[in-house]
Parts: sequence; C-alpha cells; structure tokens
Amino acid sequence: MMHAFLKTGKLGPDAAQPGTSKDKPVKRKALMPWVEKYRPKTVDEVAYQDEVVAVLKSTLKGADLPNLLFYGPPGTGKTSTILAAARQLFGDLYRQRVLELNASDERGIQVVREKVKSFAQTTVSNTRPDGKQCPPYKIIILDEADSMTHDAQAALRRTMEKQSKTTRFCLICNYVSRIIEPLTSRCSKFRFKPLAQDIMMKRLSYICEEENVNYEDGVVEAFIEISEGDLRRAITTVQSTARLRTEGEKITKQDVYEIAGVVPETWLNKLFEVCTTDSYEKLSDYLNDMMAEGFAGSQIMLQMHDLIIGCDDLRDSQKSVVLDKLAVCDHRLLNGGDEYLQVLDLCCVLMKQLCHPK
Amino acid sequence: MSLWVDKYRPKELDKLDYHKEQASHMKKLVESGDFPHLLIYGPSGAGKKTRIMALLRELYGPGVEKLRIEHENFVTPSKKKLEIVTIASNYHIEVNPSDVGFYDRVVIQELIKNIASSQQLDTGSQREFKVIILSEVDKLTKDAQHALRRTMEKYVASCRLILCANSSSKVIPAIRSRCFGIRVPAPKVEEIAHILQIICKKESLSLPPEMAQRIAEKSGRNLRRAILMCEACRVQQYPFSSQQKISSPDWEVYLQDTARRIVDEQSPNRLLEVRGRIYELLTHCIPPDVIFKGLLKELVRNCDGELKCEITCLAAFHEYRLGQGSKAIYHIEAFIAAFMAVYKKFLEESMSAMF
Amino acid sequence: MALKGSKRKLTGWVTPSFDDFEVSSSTAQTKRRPKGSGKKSAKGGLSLWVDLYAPTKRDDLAVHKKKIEEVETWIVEAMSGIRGRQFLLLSGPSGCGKSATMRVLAREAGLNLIEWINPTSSYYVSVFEDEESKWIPEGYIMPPTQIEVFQEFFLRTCKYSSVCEPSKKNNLVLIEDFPNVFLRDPSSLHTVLRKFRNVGSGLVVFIVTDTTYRQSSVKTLFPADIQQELSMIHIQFNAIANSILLKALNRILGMKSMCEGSGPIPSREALESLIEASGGDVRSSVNALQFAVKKDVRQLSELFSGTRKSKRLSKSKPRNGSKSSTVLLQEPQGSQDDFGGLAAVGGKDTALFLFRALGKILYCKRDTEMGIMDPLPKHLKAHERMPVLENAEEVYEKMAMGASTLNTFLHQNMTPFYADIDSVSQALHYMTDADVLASEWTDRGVLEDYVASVSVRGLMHANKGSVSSGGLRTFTRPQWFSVHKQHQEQLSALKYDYRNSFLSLEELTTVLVPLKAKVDAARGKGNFTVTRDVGLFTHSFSKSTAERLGEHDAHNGLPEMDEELCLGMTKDDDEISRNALQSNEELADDNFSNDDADEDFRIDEFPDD
Repeated sequence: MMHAFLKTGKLGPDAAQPGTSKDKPVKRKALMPWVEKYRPKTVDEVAYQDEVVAVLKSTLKGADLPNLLFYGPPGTGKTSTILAAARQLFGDLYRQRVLELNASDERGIQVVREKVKSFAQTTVSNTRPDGKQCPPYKIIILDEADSMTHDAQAALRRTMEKQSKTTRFCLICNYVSRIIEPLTSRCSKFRFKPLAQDIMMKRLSYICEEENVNYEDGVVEAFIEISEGDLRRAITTVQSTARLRTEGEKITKQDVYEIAGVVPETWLNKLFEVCTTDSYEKLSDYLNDMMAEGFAGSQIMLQMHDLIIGCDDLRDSQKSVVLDKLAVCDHRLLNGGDEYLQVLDLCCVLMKQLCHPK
Repeated sequence: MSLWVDKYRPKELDKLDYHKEQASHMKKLVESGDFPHLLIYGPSGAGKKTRIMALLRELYGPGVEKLRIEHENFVTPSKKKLEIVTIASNYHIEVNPSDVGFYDRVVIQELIKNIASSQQLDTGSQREFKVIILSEVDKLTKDAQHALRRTMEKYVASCRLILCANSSSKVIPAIRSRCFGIRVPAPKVEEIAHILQIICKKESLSLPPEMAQRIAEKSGRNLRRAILMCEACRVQQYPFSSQQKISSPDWEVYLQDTARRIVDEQSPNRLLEVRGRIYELLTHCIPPDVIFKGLLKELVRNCDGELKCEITCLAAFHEYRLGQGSKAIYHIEAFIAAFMAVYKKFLEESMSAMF
Repeated sequence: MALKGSKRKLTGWVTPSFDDFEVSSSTAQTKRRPKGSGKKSAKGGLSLWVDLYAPTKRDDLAVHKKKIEEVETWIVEAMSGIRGRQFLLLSGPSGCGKSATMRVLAREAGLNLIEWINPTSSYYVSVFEDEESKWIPEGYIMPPTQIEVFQEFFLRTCKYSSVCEPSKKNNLVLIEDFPNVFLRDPSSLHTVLRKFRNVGSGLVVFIVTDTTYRQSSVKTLFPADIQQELSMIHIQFNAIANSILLKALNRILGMKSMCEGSGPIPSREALESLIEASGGDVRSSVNALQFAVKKDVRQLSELFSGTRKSKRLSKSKPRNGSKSSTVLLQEPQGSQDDFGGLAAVGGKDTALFLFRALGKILYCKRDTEMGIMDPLPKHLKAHERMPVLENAEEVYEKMAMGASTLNTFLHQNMTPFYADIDSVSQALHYMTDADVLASEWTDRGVLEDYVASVSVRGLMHANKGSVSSGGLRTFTRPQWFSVHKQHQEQLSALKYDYRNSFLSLEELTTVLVPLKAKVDAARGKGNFTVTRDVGLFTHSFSKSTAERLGEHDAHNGLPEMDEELCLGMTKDDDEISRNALQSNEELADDNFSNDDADEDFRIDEFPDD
C-alpha cells in the first residue's frame, strides 16, 4: 500500500483510478470493469449535466469551489463528475488532496469526527510540485451520503463549518430528502437528471465498438430498456453479456434479458392470461412454475406494473385497486415476505378485477 | 452407504443432465480468463450446488474435491465470540454467513479479508484467485449485504465470490449489478423422470415409467426431493409396482391432517388443539413460512373462488408479519383463527342460502 | 425500596429511635423491635400500634388455627428430638403473621429465640466504593465476607448454646434477613446448612416472604432437593382472611380504649374498606388503623379517590360481593367519618402476583351496572363494550414483568376465555400487533409499555364477556419457550450432523432430513439419530404438558436465557449497542446504568415484612 502510495506521484492520471494500481500484472487490465475504464476523464466528457459542468469549469479556471451536494438517480454520473473534476484540479496531487468515503465504509460519528476531521485539518499550499497553480484546499467526497445516520450528519455540519478554509465537501446521494436540512443549506445543490436515450445510445455504441462486441439489431435499445436510465447498470450489463459470447458471435436480445434477470414477456403474458381464467388452481400452479423457473418475485412485480398500467381491460379505478395491492405486496416482499405468497396475493386481486368487475 | 442424491451427483460441467447451454456458457467463462463474481440463483433442488462444484473443477481440476471442514473463529466488536463452520479445499472455501444470524456482517468482513490477504494458493494452479462461496446470500441482513458489496470491490484481485441464493429478490441491487447472474431453473418434470430412470438403471433396478412420472410430478420440480423419494420407495418396496404409494415426508402428512382438523371444526377449543400441532411442527424444525404455504394450499381446497382469494390475502399478510415479529406461533395461530372465522361465516351463509 | 433496605441494615448498629416517628407508613423497622416493647408501655400514643399491640398469646394471633397447629406440631416434635426436625421454612405474603406466630409459639414452648440480623460491616465497604477511587485507609482490614460472618454466627449459636442466656433453654435460630450473597449464590447457603446439620443442635426457622417479581425466593433459596436433603418442613401461610383481620383490629381497638380511654371509633364499614385495601396484610392494616384514628388527619379524606380502585377489586371477591360498590362510593360524602379515605395511606400498594394479574386481564370483568357510557355510532357498534373494571396499564405496571414475557403467558392461557372464534381471531390479531411492536428493537425500551397496552387492551377489547364462566380456570406456563428451545437444539444438532452438505436450512429440514429418515427407517438404521427425531413424527417430543401456574409463582420458572435466545434469533443486544454507539454515545451509557439498576433490584430481593 505504502509503496503504491509513494509511487503515485510519478504516475499518469490514469493510475489514480480508485480500485486499480500499477502493481497488478498487466493481464489484469482486461479485468478492469468497463465502468471504471470508461469513466469520463475530464469534466467536458460528462454528458447531459450542463449546470454542474458549467460550475466546475469555472472552478477549473480559478474560481472558488462551493461545498457541493449532488443528487439524482443512480448511474447518472454523480461520482464520475466530481472525480473527473478533482483529477483535473489536482493532477498528481490527487491522492493527497481527495478523501473518498463510501457508505459501506465505517461511517458512524466516530469516523466523521476522527477521519474526516484529521484529514480536513491539515493545510495545503496552492502550488503543485511541478510548479503549476492548484487550489489551496482539499476535497472530501462522501458517496451515498443519504445512508449516513442523522447524528453523523449533524456531526459533519460542525466539521464543515470549521474547516471551510481548507476543505470542500462533496456529498453524493440518491435522495436529497434524507440529508438533514442544515447540511443541504450549506451546499450548492445539483440535481442529476436521468440520462436521455440518445446519450446512452451513443456511449454504449462507442463502448461496444472499442471492445469489439458484436450485436444484433435492437440490442442497444434492450440495454437501455433494462437499465432505466442508469448508465452504470447498462455498461455492466454490456460487459456481462459480452462474456456469454466469444468474439464474432452476436449478442441477442434474449441474452440481454437473461443477464438482466428480466422475466421473458411470454411468461408474463401467460400469467395475465391465467388471471383471466378465474381459476385459483391454475393461477397457483402457474405461479409455482414461475417460481421453479427461478424468476425473482420483485422482478415479476416490476414488470407486472408496466403491464397493468397498459392493460386495456381494466378501468382506471380498477387499476388503482390493483396497483395499491402491488405497492403493499412489493413492500412486504422487500421486507422479508415470502415471494410466492406475495405474488399470489397480488395476482388474486388482479384476477378479481379482471373477472368480477363491479 | 451414501444416498443416491450424493452418489449420482454429476461432477463435471460436461456431464450435467440438463441446462446444457448454460453449462457451455460457464465453460466459456472459465476459458476466457476473465472470471467475474457470480450470483447463482434458482429454487431449491435445481442443481445450483452441483453446478458450482462442477465449475470449480473446471477452474482448478479435481483437487477441489478434497474437502476439509474447518472452524473459523471471530470476535464481534462487542467481544462476543463466534464460531462458524467452513468447508474448504486448497482452492476455495465455502461458508454460510447467515448461520451466525445477526452477526453475518462481521463474518463477511473478517472472513473475506483473511482469505483475500492470505495467499496460500498452490503454486501449481493457473489461477491467481481463490474462490469464496457464500450460501444463502438472500438470507443475509441488509447490513451484511452492503458490507459484501464493498468487499467485492476491494479484494477483486485475489479472490472471486460465488454467491448462491434461492431468489434474487432479496439480494440488494448493488450486489446484483456487480455479479454475473446465472439463473438455474428447476428441471422440468420430464427431465426429472428421465434422470430417475438413469439412476435406477445404474442401480440395476427397473422403474416403471408411470411411476417415474408420478414421483417427478409429486416432487414439485425439486430434483433432490424426487431422487430421495425414489430411494425411499425403493427401500420400502421392490420390485416397484406402478400403484405403489409414494411416500412423502411425515411433516407434510401431519400438516395436511392439521388442515383437515381446522376445516372440520371452528372453535376456540379446536384452535387450542391445533396450537399443539403447530408446536409439534415447529419442534420438528419446519420453518414457519413453509407451514404457512402448506396450510394455505390445503385450506383453500375447501373454499370457493372468492374465499380462496381472501384466504390468500390473509396468509400473505400474516406471513409477512411473521418476519417482522419474533414469536412465530402468534402469527401462525392468528392466521388459523382468521381462517376459522372467515370459513365459519362462509359455511353459515351457504347454509342459510340453502333454506 | 433501596432506601428501606439501607435503613434496615443500620438497625444492627444504631438503636432505633422510633419514638420520633409519630406515624410511620413504613413497616420496615417495626419487626426489628426488641421483644419487650410489646407490652402496653407508658409511651402510649407515641409508639407504633404494631409493636404496642403485638400478639403475646396464641389467641391474639390473626392467623388461621390450622397453621398455628402445624407450626406447634413441628416445635413439639423438634424439642422431643425427633430426627429430621431441625429446619422449618415458613413462607407467605408479607404481613400474614409468620414471624409473630413463631415468636409467640417459641415463647410458649420456652425456647430461646436468637435472630440473625444482617451485619452492617459491608455498609462501610460500600461507602468506600462510592468514592471516586476505591480508597482503603491504611491498616484497614477488609471485613470478613458476609458468608463468613453468617457461618460464624450460625455455628456459634449451636456450640455455645448457653452463652447468650445461661439457661437450659433450647436455642431457636430465626432467619428472616438473608444475606444478599445467598440470593446470588444459594449453594453457599446450602453448604453452611449442611455443616450446621452435622454439628448443630439448635432449631432453625427460615422465614421467606413471597414476592411478585423475580423468582420466588423460596424456590431459589430452598429448591425442592435441598428441602428434602435437609428434611425441611415447609409451611405456607396465606394472606389473612378479612374476618380474622377484622377481629384482630377490633381487639386492638378494644385494648386501646382500655388503656387510653375512648377515642373515635371507626365504623365497621370503614374498617372493612381499610382491611380490603390492606390486601390481607395485618401489619399494614394496623398501621393504617393507627393513622386513621388520629383526629388531625381527617382532611386527608380527598385521598379517597386513590382507593377507588382497591374497592373495585373487592367486587371480585365473593365475600364482599353482596356489598354493592355504590355504598362504598357514597361513604366519603357521609360526613360522620371518613376513615375509608385513609386506606389510601395505609393501603398496601402491593405488586400483583402473576396469577391474579392474568386473571384480571383474561376474565376481563366489566362494569355491568354502569352500562354503556358513550354509545358509539352505528357503524362502530361492533366495538361497543361495557367499561372494564381494570386499568390495563395499572395491571401491567404492578406485575414487574417484561411485556413480551407477559404476552407469552397471555397467549398460553387466553383461548378458553373467548366464546367464539371471531373474538379469538380478533384477540390474536392484537397479539401479533404487539409482537411486531416488541420486535422493534431500536426503541425497545420506549415501546415496551405500548406493547403491553396493545396486547392487554386488545385482549380485553376482544373479550365480549359473553363466555360462560366455567368455574375457576387454571393457568399454565407458556409452552413457547420449551418449544423454541427444542427447536433451536434440534436445529443446531442437525446443522452439525449435516455440516458438509451446505443446504439451505429449509431444504435440509423439509426435504433431506424427513426423506433420509424414511430411507434409514426402512433399512432399520439410525434409530437414535437427530435425523429420525426431526424427520419422523412417530414419537413426538413436545407432548410435555404445560406446567400449572401456582397462585404465588413469579414468572421466572423460565430462565431469562430463553428470552434472550428468542431475541437472538432476530436481533441482538450487541447490534443494539453498536447502533447506540453510532447514533448516540450517551445511549451506551444508559446500558451501563441499566446494569446498575439490575444490581439494586437484586439487593432488594427481600422486601421488608
């Protein structure tokens, strides 16, 4: 660790990628997750999030950096943006100037008080070793800040205030509502929008080309469909799917769905069909079969949701009854309820609405 | 004398009886040298563990079958000592962290750290990584799953994880997206019947095709169950006759009997009697959710359509609450009492409708 | 409680100056009074009546004749030297005349009564410990341990039987005040007793007061096997019947008027309500009486509201059943006397025995006279009930039992109290609500009371009261704990046997084990394995019938561990404290102070009587 740490001073910015270091054999390069490999290197490369990019660009030109709060759905480039900015700001000094903390790291009060504080307290100069100018502060990135306890967040507030001269904070979260008010008021908030289809399309096609991935028509669309605007998920799926096929073989849509754990449409349509028969036995038998296939209950519900919304046989009032049940069952499932029972419960309600509309 | 289930378990990817395309995919994964973390999921008795072991053999050769049982010790932050059983070869280690209940997070963090940092691989092996198999990941606490996710990133250089779960529903998305997911569907009824025939042939027994079919149907697409039932039939009566009774587990019979009693009479006294029977099932280690599903299946038989849905709703509600509470008996009994109340009303209404 | 305890310890050193107490509601000190003061001394009104009018002869005792005879038989047999009549154990609720009976009978038999009183040496040690550091003065010799002192006392009384009083009288050692150490470690007491049996000659009487919280001390201190080994005779006293108590109070009033001339004499009704409130405790009722006849305390009558509850209790007793509560309720307005109100002062605020508490909740008596107070609108008619006589929270509070444990008791016994399946279903629904609440471990401390409210009120609400009361029902201890324990044991045995199979537990217990058991059984193998026990239903092991609950049992027939085991399944205190640390360090401190509280509790195991 220490060795790597000392060496980084001489390495190019690429080596500073978190999770990789030059110690590893070159062969490992191939194993690098594509998500890391294709992270934007500069702020300019960040797609679609214009407001943030504008602010960060001005910072790069010498303006002061406020404390930042990035929020938005996963896979929209929150972490990538701040990492790219930090790398451009500090260059080789990146390791000394940036502290990245994840939700999975221990992040109780204790850590906030000790680790964050001690990192924040050291003062830094405004020149790089190579003589170039760089901002006289450090950046602490708190990823997944919404999973910090409220007490830890409260402790952070004081630290933030005290160290404002030497340190900038960047909080990253999915839900801004889970960050306490005193913290949000001390940060400039930026909302990251879900990525537009064409942007994702461009990026995914680019990656496929770079990695020599062959695919049938419509596969990129399938990737986008299953990723729900989450670029990271899309790229991971591309990488996983690529493993299924040797070079030269084409990826099919089915491959994508299988890897993403999506229940094939035929199964779901059949489920709907069974619900119209008004036969409890058929329904429970069919569901047993679906469970035996290993389809995830949560995924079934997710896809049923789309089907119910688009279903022509149900009136709006009926849809609301079914969707209400869906919400309840999904919640129970998420909190430890049994898959089969919860899906069956939902389907019973659907069956009732389809067969006995009142 | 080992059971047929163990005796006839295929050991190589090429010899698997079904899901052959999937097996070829797995082979490709091993050959590519770019071996990701895996999440293998599917219902019980579908052959997840068989596939994992075959995969390991493909990776490391027959050396992975030399297993030893080890006891690992951990100390929680509050100084509580934990012991957990692991099964290991020179190349892999298998552990079920949910064995330690609420402390699974500690096990995950410590165990993986230990394994990843100790490089005791055979120099003869061509792989730079060890494999850690975690069973029942879907039973892990959320806390442990988050810890797992971080560990996966951290130690990717020296070890790979193979996660094994019954359903991917209860695995957090962050883990799912970091793994290469392999769904192992249960074998079809015909496939099971076919496998039973193969086994019986190897045992030099003749199995009537109708009987193979019946066992397969009764197994609920659970291959392990089918093979065990077949063996139980064999020891009870041979030569087989196609009319032979296929023995199901005692608890199922007992549960069916319990359901019959519930349907027979709906009174506080009967409820008290049923309570004793539920206690009996619990002392025989039958999991509460299985009791729920079994009861539901039996109870709805005596109801008409509308009522069936109502009972299902009750079961789904109480089963969920069972997970929220701590004393299973309250919830099972509450479900039974609720059924009795609904059913009694139903009977009374249909009686008065008749006259 | 703690206060009383420390005061008590002092009595060994300091001559108690009770004369300063004109009126004392504390009953703690009274029994330590030297015997002589029982006479009608000149101190008159300045002394406690309890001492002043203490029974001196058999007829004065407010104890059931049969019990007196039992004790007497033992004394006679013991003095005549029958083997195995060396130890006697008296138990019963506080103030039922255990000590008084012993004293009177011992005097009549001419026995020399020696009483063990806890020495206060340990008091000093604890003072030092309270200081910031454990400072021990130079040359200070650590005092002998409690056990040593006790043992020495014990052996001395038998070796030098004539030291204390140079007469030929036999010694009778009376032990009421058990050193705390024995409560923690009863086996050390047993060792001392065995030694004494071998060398001693005197008689030993133990007096143990039943308590409603924790394990009843009788069972801890003298388990059945020890009682048998020492051939100890165990006589159980009951709370004093109201009629006998009334007689006793009248006797005192009579004696008082004889020596002091007449004062205000309370009416019979007032006496009865006072007795009712005392719950069969002669000491507290005498204290209350003394307080009541004081002229200057009449203005305290507003305290009467506090006794409403205790009067209502009386309705459940057949004896007073004829007397309608309205009569008692009107009493304070009648200006002729307001003694009734004084029950609030002298009334015994005793903890409820589990047995009675369960009864109160499950029988769920409703006030049929009052009728429905606030009629509900039509759509809520199904929920309309007569007002209940018991206050759910009050019952729970008086039980000194955790809410989840209480729930297991309620669940075990509730079913027969409901007339139809609808009500049971409703009641069980509330039980599950309470269970879910109770499992909310992050706020367990806060929620505990609510858990009890939900379950107790839920059960009461569901009870529509139409059930035909099939006589007195018995209560049993919950089977859940033993079921759960067996479940855990079987499971860990299975896990061990199949440790290399790595199946999910469900698959193991529902598929592999039952079917393997069948294969094995058909082959005639594995007769005594866990596989067979779990897999086959031929011989069941949960058939053990539930243990009946005695009237004076506390809940700890079941070890605390079980409860922990139960929680361990899902959540754990380690995790809680971890969480506490994370969210608030002060919470962690709370855990410590909880431990301390626990310690206090233990010290006060023996309430004064």
